[in-house]
Amino acid sequence: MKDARVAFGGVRALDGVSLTVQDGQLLGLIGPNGSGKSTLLAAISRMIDLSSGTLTMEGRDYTNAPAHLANALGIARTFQTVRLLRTMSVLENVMLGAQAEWVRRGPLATWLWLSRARREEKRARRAAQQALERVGLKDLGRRHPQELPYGPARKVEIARALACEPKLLLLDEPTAGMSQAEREEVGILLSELSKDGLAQVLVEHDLAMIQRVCNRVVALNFGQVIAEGLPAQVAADELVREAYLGHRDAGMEASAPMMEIGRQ
Amino acid sequence: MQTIASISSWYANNETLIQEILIYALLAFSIQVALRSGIFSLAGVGFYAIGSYAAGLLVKEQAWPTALAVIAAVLLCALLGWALSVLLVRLRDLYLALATVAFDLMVGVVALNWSSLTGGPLGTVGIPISVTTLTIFITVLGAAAMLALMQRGTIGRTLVAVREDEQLARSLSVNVRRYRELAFVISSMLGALAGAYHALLFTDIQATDAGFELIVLALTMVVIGGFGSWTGALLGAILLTWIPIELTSIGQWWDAVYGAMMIVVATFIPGGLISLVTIAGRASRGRARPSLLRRGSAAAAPPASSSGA
Ligand SMILES: Nc1ncnc2c1ncn2[C@@H]1O[C@H](COP(=O)(O)OP(=O)(O)OP(=O)(O)O)[C@@H](O)[C@H]1O
Ligand SMILES: [Mg+2]
Repeated sequence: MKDARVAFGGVRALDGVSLTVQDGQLLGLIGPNGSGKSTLLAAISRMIDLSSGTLTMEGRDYTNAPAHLANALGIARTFQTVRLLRTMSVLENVMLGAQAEWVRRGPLATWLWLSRARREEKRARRAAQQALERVGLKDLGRRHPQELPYGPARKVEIARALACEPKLLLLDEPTAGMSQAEREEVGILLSELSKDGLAQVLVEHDLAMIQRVCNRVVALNFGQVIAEGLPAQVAADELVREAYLGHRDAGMEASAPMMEIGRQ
Repeated sequence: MQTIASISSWYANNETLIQEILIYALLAFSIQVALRSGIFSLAGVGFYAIGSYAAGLLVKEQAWPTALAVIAAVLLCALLGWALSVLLVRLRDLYLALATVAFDLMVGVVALNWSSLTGGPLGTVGIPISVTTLTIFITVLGAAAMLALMQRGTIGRTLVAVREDEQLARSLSVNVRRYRELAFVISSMLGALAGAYHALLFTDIQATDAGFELIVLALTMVVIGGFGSWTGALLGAILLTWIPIELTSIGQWWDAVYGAMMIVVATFIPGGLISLVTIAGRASRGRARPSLLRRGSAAAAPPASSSGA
């Protein structure tokens, strides 16, 4: 992402942000509430348009590609709020990720291509089950999302994104509201994924978690990058302390306001 | 032998009712397939009108073979349906509903005023009876099979995602626009089929046939039966064609009964009557869990309320 700008009316949610994520890199994205973190993820995943700047993925410019093509390029994401479909089982929710490749063939192929469709169904089911196992929810596939506690529900969303077999995973506060034990599990999972070569951007308010798992950190404030570097460096940065740590008492650990970006 | 004789005499007495149920089933499918995909479109009724004129006039004026006339009517409506979906691509929920109702009413106005083609207020009469109940029955079976496929597997899940949370669907590679277009076109074709068969079976078309009343009737069938599945639409078509005939004695009160049914179902059984059948079925197979009822109503959350949060 290069020199990206996004404006909502008068608010400059992103004001000239440039960012690169390498394979296997786990990039932490921090910043106070409203600093533009979610907007940044929405821009990378093409949920919202840039007013200027460019997006490239593996050398390909996709600044103007529709959102579903961003996923086809290998970008998967989770959202800041739980967005599981209540009318489906947990496994079926994860299958939505596992079937993404097949869905790209378009509605007619998925509707009418009978024998191939059956094979794809089996494959997607297996892949979804594997993704659930990966996040440690092996036995919850048949439950419905509304029966799950908050922590596992958020893990299902990570499983759904992983089931897309992405090259770049965007996580918007995946551990907000989780217990300490669950946070640690997720931290370990993300580190493992990073070792497997997956590029990740992790938006997270929990600085301890950032320090533990990330190998690079970018701090945003008012839509601009105010610091960038190794976790320890950024945490020690004057500007970051001022902008961000000052808010600590104001409830950084509390789950952030439930705001959805780019919904029409 | 006795039973066969009694079945055939029952059939002879009720053939018109059965024909009407089958035709309304196609119309109800047309509305249901859109609603299930989160598209609050009532354009199926407009295509019912267009399909009836197209097929009726091709058979009557051009002496086309029935099958060709029906196919031509359906293809015409598929094309128009696609064009309409492109035109209305940005509209959702209530706005889409209003725009498609406006489309239906416009079709009626055009039919009324284009006298040289449609006969205007006199209607198109004297169309030769050119379809059999069996043909319509087979068509309904075929349509039901296609819709059943559309509710399952990859495409079934995808359409639910499109309905419940478009943005999420996009993040999972779903080209939302294509899926909405598909549902729109299928809906148009089913509406056209219903209209074409109606014209070719009952021999006349009035410009007022596909008016506001038909819109309400079709929507009521789907809401009362249940929009979550084609089976709901079929159940709704059966009930709302059959009950008024059984209850002719209440005459003018029918509209009130109708409204009351609608309110009761919408309030207490948002999944439609078919959801009761599904729940009962699961219970009898011993798979009932306390959460089933809750889930049934979650499954039935109307598309307008898809906050997706
Ligand atoms: N859809 C929108 N319409 C208008 N303004 C928006 C929209 N989305 C975000 N904003 C504004 O853009 C700015 C950045 O918001 P964003 O959600 O990206 O912040 P954030 O860093 O994710 O904050 P949080 O920690 O609360 O999640 C805020 O000022 C917000 O009010
Ligand atoms: Mg945010």
